[in-house]
Amino acid sequence: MSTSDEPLLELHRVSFRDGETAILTEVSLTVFAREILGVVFQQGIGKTALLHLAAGLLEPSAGEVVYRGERIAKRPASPTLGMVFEDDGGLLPNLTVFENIALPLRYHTRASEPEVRAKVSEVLSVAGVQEVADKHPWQLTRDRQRLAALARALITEPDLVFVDDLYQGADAEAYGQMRETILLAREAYGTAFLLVLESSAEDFDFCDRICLIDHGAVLELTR
Amino acid sequence: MDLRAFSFFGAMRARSGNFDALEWVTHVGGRLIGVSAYLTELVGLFGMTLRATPRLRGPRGRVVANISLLQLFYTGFEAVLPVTIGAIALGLLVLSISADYLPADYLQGVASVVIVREVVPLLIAFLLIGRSGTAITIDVANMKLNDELSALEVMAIPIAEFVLFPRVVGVVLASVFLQFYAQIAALVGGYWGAALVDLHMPSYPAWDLVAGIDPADVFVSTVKVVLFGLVIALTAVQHGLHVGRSRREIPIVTSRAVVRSLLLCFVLNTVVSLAL
Repeated sequence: MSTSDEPLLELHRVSFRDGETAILTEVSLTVFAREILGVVFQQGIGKTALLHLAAGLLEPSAGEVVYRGERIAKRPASPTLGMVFEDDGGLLPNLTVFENIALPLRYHTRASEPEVRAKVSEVLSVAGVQEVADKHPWQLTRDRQRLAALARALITEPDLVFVDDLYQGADAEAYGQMRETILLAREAYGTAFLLVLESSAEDFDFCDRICLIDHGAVLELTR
Repeated sequence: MDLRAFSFFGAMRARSGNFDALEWVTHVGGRLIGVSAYLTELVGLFGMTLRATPRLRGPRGRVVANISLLQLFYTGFEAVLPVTIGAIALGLLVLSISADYLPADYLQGVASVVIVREVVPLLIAFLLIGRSGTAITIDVANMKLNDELSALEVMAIPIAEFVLFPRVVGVVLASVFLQFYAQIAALVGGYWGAALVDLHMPSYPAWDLVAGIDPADVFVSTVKVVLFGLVIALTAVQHGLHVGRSRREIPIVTSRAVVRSLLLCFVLNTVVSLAL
């Protein structure tokens, strides 16, 4: 499945300030359906803010974020977005990995328990972490936590998934698994990805496009 | 002697050397605005809890009910031992002192008014603030710092439904349950304890104290603990949400939540006691 020309998420001259400090300045970029867009920050400042703005978790100081042609509300109304947060991915520590992944399905759908189990097994298998289903997030290594968080983000087959610091502290195996999961998810669910990458990451060819942000402003967008 | 030195303005003048009325008005006004903003936010959280209630049907209702039951378990059943000890100790104290200073006929009345209506609700408030209020503030603050709250928002799971509602319902239900339990423990356990240590205790069945409780006092006590439960849970969540970016802020917001919960419970206790 290849990238579509249909814009999924658009940032129009989005700026974000934290008090007196300008974090992002007039950032404009578009994520197309089924696209994998990598964003590289020269200074490493503003990467989390960019994803939070794009996901509707933060309000921009100026500009607007448009998702599927509509200005995004502060909180998305339906789970058509997914996100893997920094560090442990934002998993709930008092739930097992299985319960974490099943939560959106149990909350939003009337899926029976066997259906929930089947779907959770499927995404765990896509993420290659079936063996951690019954463990709590704090029992896992950081790599496994982030793969489990990616599995949770995919459970509702969302249109778009944001991944903060894709390769944060990942070893070679987890690095490969993360890439493979993203490509599989795009193939299986038609999901687009907006990934924040380390500036030192060498393997940018895995993304359809790379956006370089320097001092809070878009410097370059390559296809 | 200049009596003005003992007034508030006199003290201000003495401290600063020169009383500045504008500065004083600004200070007091700022405090009043702060208190009203804080109370407005608390009422807003209560409104969010109420608005979340009708949405909790079907699958999301089941998920939230499970979390509420867990909160009820942690706040209610796990607090039974400290409540038992506190209730018996306070019941023993009140009954023993009452037996020393008052005729035996007065004991039932004192038990109903002092223990059931006044002492037990405050005991429940203290224990809930110390155990559950602090735990909720720390939990919510950690959820915020670990991006768990943001993760819920991205999954379109409202914090009012998943975090606020179960904690408020769990704490309120637990406080009502603990109140009834503590009243019986204070009267029966307190009487037996007092009879053991105090030879002046009138000898009649301890259950007579329970039977002599005025239902109006139980009603007032129930109103109090429901309000206390609401205030404690809402204040705890509110302060947990106020944590900024650093884990160092967690003890600060927790300490604030404890002090504000205590103050609000004291004020509510007086208002309800005088009004009902």
